[in-house]
Amino acid sequence: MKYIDQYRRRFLGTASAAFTGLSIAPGILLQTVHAKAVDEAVTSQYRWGLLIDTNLCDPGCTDCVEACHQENGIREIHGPETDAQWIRKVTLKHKKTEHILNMPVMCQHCAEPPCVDVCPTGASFKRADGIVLVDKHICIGCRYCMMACPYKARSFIHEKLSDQLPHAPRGKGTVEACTLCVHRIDRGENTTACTQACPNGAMTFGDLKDPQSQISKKLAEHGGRELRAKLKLDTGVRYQGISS
Amino acid sequence: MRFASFLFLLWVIPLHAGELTGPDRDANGNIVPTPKGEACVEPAEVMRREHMNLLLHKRDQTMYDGIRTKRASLNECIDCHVTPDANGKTARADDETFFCSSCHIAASVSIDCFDCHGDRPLDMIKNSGLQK
Ligand code: SF4
Ligand code: SF4
Repeated sequence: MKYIDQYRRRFLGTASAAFTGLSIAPGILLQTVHAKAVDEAVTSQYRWGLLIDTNLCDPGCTDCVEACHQENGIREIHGPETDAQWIRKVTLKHKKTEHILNMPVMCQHCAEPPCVDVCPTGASFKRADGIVLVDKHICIGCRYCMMACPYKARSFIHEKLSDQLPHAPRGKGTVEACTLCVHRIDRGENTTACTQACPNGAMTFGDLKDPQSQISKKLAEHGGRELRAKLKLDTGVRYQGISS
Repeated sequence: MRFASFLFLLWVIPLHAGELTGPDRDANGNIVPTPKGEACVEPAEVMRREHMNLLLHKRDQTMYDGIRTKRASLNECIDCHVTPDANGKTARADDETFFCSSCHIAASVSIDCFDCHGDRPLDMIKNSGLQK
């Protein structure tokens, strides 16, 4: 219970803000870069994110979706209507130019997550490093978060499951979404299953707070937009090649 | 034909010897499955009374702080306590021969851990062809 109470008082947010960087002179930040030891708690020193280049995404390809399902033990049950979807391939057509966009959409790991705002139990939460998760131990399956999410990123589990993978517990009556491969991040890996699987290199994973990371460099050079940016959710997943 | 069935019996008897005698039972007749490892993380008396507290503490550490150490991790319990029989099969969470259920059924304390957590080690899931 300690952790949930901490979250609810937003204690983690204020306590960990002190660790984000050491100021040696006004305007100069000293960034300490070191991998987390296995017994060390995550901190807000990192903010994990994805950058997706929609121009590189192939319309017919679903490699990222399949890799995600393989990685997290998501198996077909009753088909796409009710099965869990952690990533969806979305096609958008611009009304005026008729330009067609293809992109994978998953939980955007919002810095201001509406799913967390509406969750009555505290089960939806944001880790110090920006990853938004569901604590299924306290999720009551009310699905408020699914209604609140502007990206349709979450799935409800309708059926009794078995043979879940050790790193990805999932079960009937709870809600789930992309975890940004949190089990890999906690092992110190610097990639996700989807990023690795993309044959066109359309996805980049990394630390948005580290100016030297590949994702930050790409963002600095070419920019990257948030889906539904007007909602000001400060998403951790950014897209290139979209107009708004 | 006869020789073939004799050979078959020779093969079958040792494999199923465990089934004939049944699983190990304690003085009260409750099933006591045999673990794989040499010693548990704590003595049996401590584990009997405290396993739920250890698991709860570890669960919150993993969930909120990303601390995935092995001690008191449910995955490690499963790796050690869910072992295949001679046919390569393991007891499933609902069976009275499953490590956790052997006690929990006897004590009439229901657990829902295995609604979400897999009830056998990753190797076994892979062997079943469900996972690459
Ligand atoms: S994308 Fe949806 S599920 Fe993910 S953090 Fe934002 S509101 Fe929550
Ligand atoms: S379904 Fe679970 S995570 Fe979503 S709002 Fe309800 S209790 Fe919270």
